[in-house]
Amino acid sequence: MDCNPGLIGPALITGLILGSLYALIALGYTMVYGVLKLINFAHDAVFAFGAVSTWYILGQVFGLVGPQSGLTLVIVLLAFLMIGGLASGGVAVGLERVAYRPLRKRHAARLSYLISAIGASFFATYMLQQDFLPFMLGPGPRQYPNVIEAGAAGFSFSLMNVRVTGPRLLVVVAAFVCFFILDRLINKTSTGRSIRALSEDPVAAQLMGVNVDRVIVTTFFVGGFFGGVAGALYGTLFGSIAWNLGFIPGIKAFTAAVLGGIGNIRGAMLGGLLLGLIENGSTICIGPEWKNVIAFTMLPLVLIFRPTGIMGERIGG
Amino acid sequence: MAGLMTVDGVTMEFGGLRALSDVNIEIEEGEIFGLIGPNGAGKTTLFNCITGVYDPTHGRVEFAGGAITGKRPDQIVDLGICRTFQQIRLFPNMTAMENVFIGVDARHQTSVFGSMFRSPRHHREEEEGETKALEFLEYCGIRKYANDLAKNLSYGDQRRLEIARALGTKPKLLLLDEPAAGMNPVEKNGLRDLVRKIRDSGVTVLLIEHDMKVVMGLSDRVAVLDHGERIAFGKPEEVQKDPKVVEAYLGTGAGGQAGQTAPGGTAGSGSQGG
Repeated sequence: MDCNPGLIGPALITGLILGSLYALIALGYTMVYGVLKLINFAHDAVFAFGAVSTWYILGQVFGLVGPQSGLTLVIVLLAFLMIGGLASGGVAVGLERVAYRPLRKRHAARLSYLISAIGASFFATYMLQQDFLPFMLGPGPRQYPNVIEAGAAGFSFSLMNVRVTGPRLLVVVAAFVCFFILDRLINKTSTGRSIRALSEDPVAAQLMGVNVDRVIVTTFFVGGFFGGVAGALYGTLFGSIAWNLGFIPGIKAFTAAVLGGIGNIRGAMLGGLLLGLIENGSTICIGPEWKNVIAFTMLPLVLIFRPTGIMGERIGG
Repeated sequence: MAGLMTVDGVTMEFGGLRALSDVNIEIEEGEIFGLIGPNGAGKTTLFNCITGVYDPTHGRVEFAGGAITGKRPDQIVDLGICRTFQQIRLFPNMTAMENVFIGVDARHQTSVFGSMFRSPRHHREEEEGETKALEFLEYCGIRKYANDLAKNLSYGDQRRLEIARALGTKPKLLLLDEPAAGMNPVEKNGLRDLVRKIRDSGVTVLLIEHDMKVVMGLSDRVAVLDHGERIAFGKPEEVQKDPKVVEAYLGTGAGGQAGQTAPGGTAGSGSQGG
């Protein structure tokens, strides 16, 4: 093992960028776990729909291709994030209705939810691999609308010997804006209070007038929304998407949620950033082919040495 | 006085176990109604039937002229019934004010978008809600703990916070499940004053209590449950003399006669886990 100090800069910056994405996706896992004590393993598909919906609506329907600039760029970017968020939020709510609520009404065992979630995830993912509906991706990769110029002609600056392009900067900035909005939503609004109350004691919450079904739908929507924003950012960052795009980021984000303390929202943000830094930090000393090995080693390590994760199970701040 | 709530022939069975058997109670507006009985008599089960936690096997509950049996707990709160719990069920990691705010929120309408993007309506409701929540804390004498986490309050103050949270939903009928349990004599006196103050403000109170001094001193009328059946009913002084009541307390070995302080605060009364 010989470490290369020259790789510290790239590792930190790539870690921060990918970590921001993991953190955004991790919010969905952690929020649903917080209120239902259920791991929504279909959240990887929810995330994927953020990329697919924007690819289809903005790329295919509106025919957006090529870099935009100025005010148009700002509007287009906001449209990407909102459409991705709304589409994934909608998918998450639909998923709750179809795959979880019937089980909840029947007081099913916890394992049933897990099985239902895995089934729903594979169903949605493999549907994207088909091509009989226009928004489906088909078997091959698809080019994602490149509205920000990422090449030599575009905006960029150099940080620790790394070229930070527009898409890379966008991922980090958008993620931190989302963290701020969500943190305020959870800790300072009536919606957040009811989510926290439900996560602490669902029976007492309902007996104090909280409409449990509505709060659960809200939780799925909000978690899905930020997953969808992450999906649109993923497309913008990598420039192409494929039907199975949700799989690896999905389980990385799940790992991040566990690392930060599943059920804890600030934990998910922290866990995502840390996981990004850990897996990319490993490339300083060992080959990049070990990245995923290192990342997933975190799962058993956390469960053995700190089962509640870094920040514990509390949902609020 | 007019009838506010009617418990009409309510029977609750869990498998083969009959926790409540054809219970009839009528609560009048503006009274403090005491519900007593030995541990396991079915008092908390009756609360659960009224508040929608359980759906009674037979019978029905009418409130303010309409049937509430079969409604969801949060719908029953909307209609004007709220409760406290025998075993404290606050939201431990939320502040005292946020706990009361949850009750106040029950009357609010903001959507998630309103919350996310801070609509004017949300802003107004938050400001009004905070003021109301602080008022209820003040009313229950715990305003100074507004920003403390509920779990850090003393036991007696947690019981007061449960009452403040329930009052936050603006109930017409307040159900108190052993509010004096675990309190010292000074706290119990304070609680008595608080319950009277709540009644005098126009809220009807249905009270489960083991402490005979508290329940007999406060209640306008009392019903006694034993083994799921209503065995006595009437004014406190009549009920205290009823031989069936004396027998129920002596017979279960609860260690105290009616009219004296029965051992309070014992867990497991009612059939909460059933």
